[in-house]
Amino acid sequence: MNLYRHAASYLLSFAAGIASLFFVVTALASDHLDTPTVIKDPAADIGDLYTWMSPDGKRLNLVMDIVAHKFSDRLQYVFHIDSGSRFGTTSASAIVICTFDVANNVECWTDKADHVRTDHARGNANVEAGIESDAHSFTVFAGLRDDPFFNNVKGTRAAYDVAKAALQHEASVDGAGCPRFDTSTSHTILDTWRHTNGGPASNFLAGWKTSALVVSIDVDTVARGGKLLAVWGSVHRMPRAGKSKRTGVPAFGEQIERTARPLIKNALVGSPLAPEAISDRRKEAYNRVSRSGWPAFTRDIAATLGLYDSFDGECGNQWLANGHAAPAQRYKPLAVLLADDRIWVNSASGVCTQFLAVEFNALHRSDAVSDDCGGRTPNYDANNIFRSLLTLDRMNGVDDGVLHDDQQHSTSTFPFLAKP
Amino acid sequence: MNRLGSSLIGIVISLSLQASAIGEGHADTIRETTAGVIAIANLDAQIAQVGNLPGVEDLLLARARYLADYDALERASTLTEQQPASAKALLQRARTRAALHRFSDALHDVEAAEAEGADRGQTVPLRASILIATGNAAKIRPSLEAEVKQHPGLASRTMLAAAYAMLGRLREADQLYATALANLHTTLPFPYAWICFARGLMWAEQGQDLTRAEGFYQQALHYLPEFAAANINLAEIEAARGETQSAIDRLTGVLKATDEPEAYALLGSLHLRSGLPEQGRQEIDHARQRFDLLLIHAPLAFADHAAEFYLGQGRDAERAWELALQNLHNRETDRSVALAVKAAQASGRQNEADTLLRTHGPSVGLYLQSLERTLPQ
Repeated sequence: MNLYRHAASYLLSFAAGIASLFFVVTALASDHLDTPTVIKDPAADIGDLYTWMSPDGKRLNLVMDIVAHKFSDRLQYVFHIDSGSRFGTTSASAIVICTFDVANNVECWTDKADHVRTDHARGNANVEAGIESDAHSFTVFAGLRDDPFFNNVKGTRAAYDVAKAALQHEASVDGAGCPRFDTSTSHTILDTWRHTNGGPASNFLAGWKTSALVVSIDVDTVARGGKLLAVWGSVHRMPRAGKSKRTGVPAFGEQIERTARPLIKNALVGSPLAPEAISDRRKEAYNRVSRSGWPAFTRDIAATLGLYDSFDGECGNQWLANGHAAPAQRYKPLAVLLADDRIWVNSASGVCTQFLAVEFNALHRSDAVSDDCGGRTPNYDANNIFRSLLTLDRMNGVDDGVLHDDQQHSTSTFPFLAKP
Repeated sequence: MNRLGSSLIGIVISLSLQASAIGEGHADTIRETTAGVIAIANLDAQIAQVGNLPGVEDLLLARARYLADYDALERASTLTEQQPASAKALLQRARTRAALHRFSDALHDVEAAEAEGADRGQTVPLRASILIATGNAAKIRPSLEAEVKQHPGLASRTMLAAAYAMLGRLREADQLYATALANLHTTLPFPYAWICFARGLMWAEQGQDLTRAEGFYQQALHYLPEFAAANINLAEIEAARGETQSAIDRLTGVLKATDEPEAYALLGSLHLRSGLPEQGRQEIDHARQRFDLLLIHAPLAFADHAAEFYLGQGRDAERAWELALQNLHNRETDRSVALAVKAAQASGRQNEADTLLRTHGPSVGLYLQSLERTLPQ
């Protein structure tokens, strides 16, 4: 008989089944494998979001990496492009929404605005040139590519373990939530982070493939509120409501996943040292909350920022940390900025070299590259810049020993990501 | 010739009429999930991506569970036996050993994992599933009820449901399964298919209600058309109802993706009945070879299934008795007792059969009915 046909065998395999539903490769990756809901269906799990301007400044490039190797036929994959004239505030929004059939043919729509008509593309987009939309406003590719994200996952986990052990033994925590590690512990944390199993650092995601949804769109159709764009991505269940009769654009179903900047959810909303159940609950809520509810996660992020601030053995030297403020307020400015989790792109520039350039320029940071588009290209070392900012308020100095992907990706030639 | 005797047809009809009279709804709302073919492609991609790193075992077990891929099961076993004894690795080995019906080894691993500080949320359902599977549902029931009150969730509800099913408390079990389904929030089809399959199995085996069972098997297949065990069980019901061609088509579909001996054996018996004796005999021979091979690699996992085969299409009552005894020694469930009774009777050991019946509870009778239905007349 089939091993699982009868009750006893079924029962036994059920326990394993439950475990495998929540399978995780302990990937402390960008936004991979972030909550039980998306872990359970990798087709609903956005690994990373990238967005930047084309060199001629005419097109906005958008890449959504999905952990699974096939897109779901029951989900909507959505790029949100908000726009405005100054950092932090947007006055208009545009979307690109894509769905797939069982054969993974794609259908994408842009929405309608005052002076912008709906555009639409449909077909097999798993071809190098992608497919162009009916009104030529965008080109879409959807298929398997090399995953451009790189991370020394094991080293990062080991570094967290050092911090956790120190906290369990001798390290105290100040009023703002920053542990006071001694010099030796701090050195061990940073050194462990740069190694994998005691040896040279290795990229856990080397050779990983991702389902890439790539859209290159005429920037004038989406920059409706100004030249500064704020981009985020989401995944929704297929709604029962169907499409708008007026525009043919599908209505949104229930949102079950969202992401923008790397590491926000996995490293800050879900603290790496928090119990898994608590961390998962907050990340689930983060994924589902409506736009107006985003600020509610400022507290979660602020509570975790102290941990990163501590890794160099000094508290209060994090980007935007206010060492003179009351402890509860020390990390609030950065937490507020990050809780508005969108990747900012200056669409007035076709030069994209610096991660967070829009934020840096708006905040008058001395090492900001002026007139840079910012955004996030597949070649930015976003992880290590982010870690260094959170620990030292510098662009480098805290890294995991893996400084680039094993493949080179293009920022100018569609569909940008290297072949798998 | 329909495999189901006319008396059993009567039982089934009367049970289904009772169910209709009770008016219990069993057509739960179907949830929107990713197509099975996509989910399986993604599972395979995950297996390929993870390689032999820890964690792949659960993915391999999922492949074995849904697609009857016993090579995946063997690979999971090989990998877990090689790992160092950390809490995580011990739990993984326990899950894999349990899947292979190595119950005492698996329980030992669970205890060792607990000693190493394993998460209780993982050890509780695993231990419970092993105890239920080895005929200890009554013993574990109170703690499972407490667990549902303290930590209501998928694991606790389905474990208690399984215990209730084993104890004949089918309505309560069904309600718990329904609640577990209603609280699932994923677009992955696997867990929905699995729970629907569990409900179908419960109504078929403990409830002797094939109509209701069929509905749940159909639901499972709605979520995952490739689900081998659900297809085979459904084919069995179709065959019993005289829908031979439908059953043949279903089994032929299963065998395109797996070398599952039960599917071969059932298909062989259907071809024998359909006037294709040569093809039928070949398929039954293939089933025998496949069982013999599987018994070498995982004797406890396949002892009961092979015993049934040798009681039926395999026509070797002595072999069936040996295997049924091996299975009974491994787990003393009502179903194992019923299988041993059948094998004893078939091999001329009426005294042993009488002793087994005298020393075990009345619910053995339910499983005897079930075996009567599934074994070729």
